[in-house]
Amino acid sequence: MATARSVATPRPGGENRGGATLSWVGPGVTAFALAAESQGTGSKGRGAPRRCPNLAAFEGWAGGEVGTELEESVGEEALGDYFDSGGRGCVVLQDSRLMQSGWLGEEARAGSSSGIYALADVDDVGLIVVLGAGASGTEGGVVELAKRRPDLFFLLEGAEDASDQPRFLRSNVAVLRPSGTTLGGLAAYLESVDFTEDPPFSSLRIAPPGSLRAADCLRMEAWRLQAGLRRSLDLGTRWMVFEVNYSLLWRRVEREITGFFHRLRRRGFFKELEHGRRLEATCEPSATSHVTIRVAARQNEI
Amino acid sequence: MRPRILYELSQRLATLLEDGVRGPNRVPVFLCHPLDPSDVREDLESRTIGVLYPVRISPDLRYRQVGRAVDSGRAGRPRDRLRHPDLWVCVRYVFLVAGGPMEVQLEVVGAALRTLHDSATVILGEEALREGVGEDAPQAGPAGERSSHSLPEEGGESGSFPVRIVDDPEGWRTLGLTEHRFTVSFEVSVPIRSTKVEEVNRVLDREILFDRNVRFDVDEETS
Repeated sequence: MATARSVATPRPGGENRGGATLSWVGPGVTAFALAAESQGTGSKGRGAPRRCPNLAAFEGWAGGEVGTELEESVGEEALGDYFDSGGRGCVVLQDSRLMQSGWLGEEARAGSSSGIYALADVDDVGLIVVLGAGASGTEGGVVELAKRRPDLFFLLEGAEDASDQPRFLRSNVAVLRPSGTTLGGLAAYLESVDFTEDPPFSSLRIAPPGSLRAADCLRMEAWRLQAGLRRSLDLGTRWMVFEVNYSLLWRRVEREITGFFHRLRRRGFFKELEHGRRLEATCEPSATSHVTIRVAARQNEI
Repeated sequence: MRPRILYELSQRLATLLEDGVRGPNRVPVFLCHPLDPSDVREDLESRTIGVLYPVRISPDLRYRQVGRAVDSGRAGRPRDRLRHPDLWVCVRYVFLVAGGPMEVQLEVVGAALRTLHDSATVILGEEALREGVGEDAPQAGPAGERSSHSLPEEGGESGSFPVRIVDDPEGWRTLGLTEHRFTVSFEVSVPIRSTKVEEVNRVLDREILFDRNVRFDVDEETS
C-alpha cells in the first residue's frame, strides 16, 4: 500500500517540481542489505541506511580494507559488480543481525526501523537486495513485507543449491543462488530499466546478465515499469494529504492523472501495455479519511 | 431559522438615517411602505417624517462565488465543514421625505444624502450575520478571492457592506405614490448565508491500486 510517508527526496526533473504536477520519477534506487558488521558506526553491528555513490565510498566505511570474509565474498563483490555494471549509486545497510536465522529487522515508526524495514522506509528506494541473510525463515518475512509494499522489489539470496534462474515467490520477490556477482549485476540491470519522458524510452538500459532467461528479464522489467508508474502516482499525489476529502478533490486528482497518462502515452510508454485499451484512474473515497486511487485499463471506445 | 440579515440591515439603515437627519426637531424614520397607514400615522401637515423602504432585492452577480467554502474544525467540532457559497443580494432602498414645510424636507434630503455619503459602508454585528445558520455557524468568508466587502474572518465582530447612492428619479412611482415626493435611492449588497453544509474529513491516507488487467508483461515474441 502506497501511503503518505515522509517528505519525498527531491529528484532532478521529478517530483517537487512546482507542487502538484505529476511527472515520471522512475521505479526508485537500489538498496543493499548486507549481513555484515557495520563499519564506522560503532553501533555494535547495527547499521543505518547510508548513501553509497561508488565503491570507494563503501570501502572507505570499512577502513580501506574488507573486514570480514562475508563482506569480502558477498558485500563487496555485489557492490563491485553493481557499480561495474553501471549502477548509479545505491543505499547500503550493514547489520550483523541479518546473519541470524529469520531476522529481517524490526518495524517501527519511520526513522526507527531496523534491517530491511529501515531500507523500506527510505523514500526513494525501489529495489532491495538482501545478501547474506539467514537462509531459513527470511523468505516468509520478506513475502509478508512485499505484500504490504507492492512498490518495492526484493532480490533475495537463496540457498547454495538454488538455481541460477530467479525463483519468484511473488511478483515482486525473486530468489537467486548466493552469488554476489549475479545479484549485483542484476540489480544494476533492473535499475537501468527505466523510462524517461524525454527522449522516449530509456537510453540507459544495459544488457541483462547473460545467465538469465529472457522471460524472467521481461517479467522483472515489466514490474519495474509498473513500479515506476506507481511511484510517480504516489509522489505526485502526496499533496492531496490533508486536503478536504471531497468530490472536487477527487475529480482534480483524476484530471491530473489523466493528463499524466496522456503525456506518457504520447511518448510511447504504453505501447506494450494498452493494445486497444486505455488506462484510467478513479478516486474511490471512503467515508473516513482514506482515498483509493484505482488504475484500470478500459477498452477504447470506437 | 430564517435569515434576519435583510431586516437587521434595514433597521440599521433606518437608525443611521434617523441619527443623520436629526436637527432641532426629531425627524422619525419609519421602516415601512409609505402607503401603510398603520405605520405612517403622523400628522404630515405639521411634521416631517422619513420613510425607508426596500423596493427591490435582487441577486448581485458581482459577488457571486463558485466552489465551496471550508470552515476548519475547532474545539467541540473537530470535523471540517464545506459550505455552499453565500447568495449575495443587492437591496435597493428608497428613502422618502414627507410632511412639513419644504425647507425642512430639503434639509432632511440633504442630511440623508450626506449621511449615506459619509457612511460608505454599513456595519452589521455578528449576530445579524450568523442568523439562520445555526449557533455554531462559521464566520469565515467565502473561499477563493475575497473582496473588500467580504464577511469578517473567524472571530471577527462585524461585517461591513458597501452603500451606493444611485440615480433613481422615478423612485416615488416605484413606491406606488400618486404624487411626487422627495426620494433618495441607494443600494447595499449583503450575503445570505447558505445552510447547505456538509461535514467532511481530511485525507489522511492514500492507496494506489492497479487492477489485474493492468499488466506490463510482454510476450517474448513482441519484445
